[in-house]
Amino acid sequence: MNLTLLFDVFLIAALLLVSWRLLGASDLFQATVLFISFGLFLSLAWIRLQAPDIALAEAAVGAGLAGVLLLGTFKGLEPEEDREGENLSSEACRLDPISPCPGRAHLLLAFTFVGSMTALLLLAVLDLPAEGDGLTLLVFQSLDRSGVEHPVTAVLLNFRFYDTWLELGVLVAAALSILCVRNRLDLRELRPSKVPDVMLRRLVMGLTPIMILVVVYLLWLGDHAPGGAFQAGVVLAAMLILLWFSGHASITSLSRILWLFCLIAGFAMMLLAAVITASWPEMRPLEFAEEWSGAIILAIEVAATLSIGVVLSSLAILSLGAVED
Amino acid sequence: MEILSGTLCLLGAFFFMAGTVGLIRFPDSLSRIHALTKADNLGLGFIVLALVVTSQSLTVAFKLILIWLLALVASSSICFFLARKLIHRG
Amino acid sequence: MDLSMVMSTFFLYSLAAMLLVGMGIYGLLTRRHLLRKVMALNVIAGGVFLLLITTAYRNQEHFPDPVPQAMVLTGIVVAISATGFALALVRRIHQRMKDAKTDPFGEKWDRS
Repeated sequence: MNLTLLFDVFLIAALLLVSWRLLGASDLFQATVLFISFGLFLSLAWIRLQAPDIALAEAAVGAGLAGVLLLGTFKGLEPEEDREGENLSSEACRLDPISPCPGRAHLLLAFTFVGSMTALLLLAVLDLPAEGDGLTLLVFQSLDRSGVEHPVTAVLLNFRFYDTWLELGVLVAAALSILCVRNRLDLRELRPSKVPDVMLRRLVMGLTPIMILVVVYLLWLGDHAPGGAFQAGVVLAAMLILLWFSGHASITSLSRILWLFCLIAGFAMMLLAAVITASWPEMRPLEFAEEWSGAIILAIEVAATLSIGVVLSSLAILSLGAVED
Repeated sequence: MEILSGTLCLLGAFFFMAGTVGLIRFPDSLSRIHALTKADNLGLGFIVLALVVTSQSLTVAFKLILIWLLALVASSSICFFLARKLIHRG
Repeated sequence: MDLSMVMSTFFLYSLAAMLLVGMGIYGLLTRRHLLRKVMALNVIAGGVFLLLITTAYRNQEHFPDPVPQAMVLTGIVVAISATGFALALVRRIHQRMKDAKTDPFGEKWDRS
């Protein structure tokens, strides 16, 4: 029995316990806070499994942004005693009051289904071939020709370019569909629900240069170490949300056209790269010439950072913001 | 060097534990955030110091200290916001 | 690194991943509040990511497979945008519920 294994057991126990409690806790606020700590434990697990890129992204996304989104929605769903003049009970706040309480048969059916699913999953994992190290060798062999030195960045922006491209498309679609659901054309009149105070303004003002520095540093780091467009984009999103929340100028003060431009910048840049490589002679589509690939990847990364930051902060602002009457 | 960093690590862990015990045992929210911010910042400081002692280069040491300073700023301002909210609520 | 150590870590974490997926699906099926259903979906996503990353970690003596890592990195950002969209839908449903509150559990609600 050695210490790392002991750490693994503790970490997994904490992970399972937190997720069990967050699904079972009767208090919704408690569940939300547990969800944030679930994200933190998960990012510890990523570190343990030698995936520092994902740990960086998870700490910012799972613990930070998801927490902001969930808490904001929770606040929006809370019974508003002072405004309504009557106290809504938590029962009335429930979103599906017409559906009956799950009966014993329902629970049993769900349990059987889940049990068989988990068993099938277990069989699938046990059935994995014992030999073979996946695509690691292939990636490391072609790393020299990719234009960057960090394998994860090489996979994201060169070898599996189309994955990242479609992912940026998903982000644009998400932002646009939230605009549809909220019945809005842009973010311009959205204000934080509380008047920001002086202390927070000062704090955010002091932190903003540091956060810009971190964004640029992470972006530059992606070339040869864990980091890159995703992590930098999430930090940028956090910065934009904080700026907005403390009453400074943020993406809500952008004009509609400029905002849309930031939204599609990453997707458009990748489309441009795809069109250029497709029309280049003696080059297959999405294949970068070796001497240009570093520059192309950097340009795409800058645009993708901008898009990810703007989209994620728009999601949060749309879920937190209120229109001033 | 290693003994020094190990001692500092243990000291840091002790303060973290003290902070956690405070979080669990103290009766009200104000004293809880008091325990958390004070003891945990000290504990983090000791662990950062332990890592600085063993770090190979000056840049790494500088980055570690920067991390500690940022954590100090963040936790003290969060403490302030929480405490003010608690007092306003009465 | 010792390969048998890696394998035991792999089995431990993949078991955790499977349990997370199972718990998430169970929560999704049995919990009634929509916010909690969104959280259950995120727990499932966490389990799936954990399974992918443990398979990337398996059989590796030096560096884990970067391809699943890149896929999970994309997956995290997609999951958070889907969560944002789901939460916006929850807000909208809640708004309609409040509008329908005046008529006792509504005809209006049933049809919409």
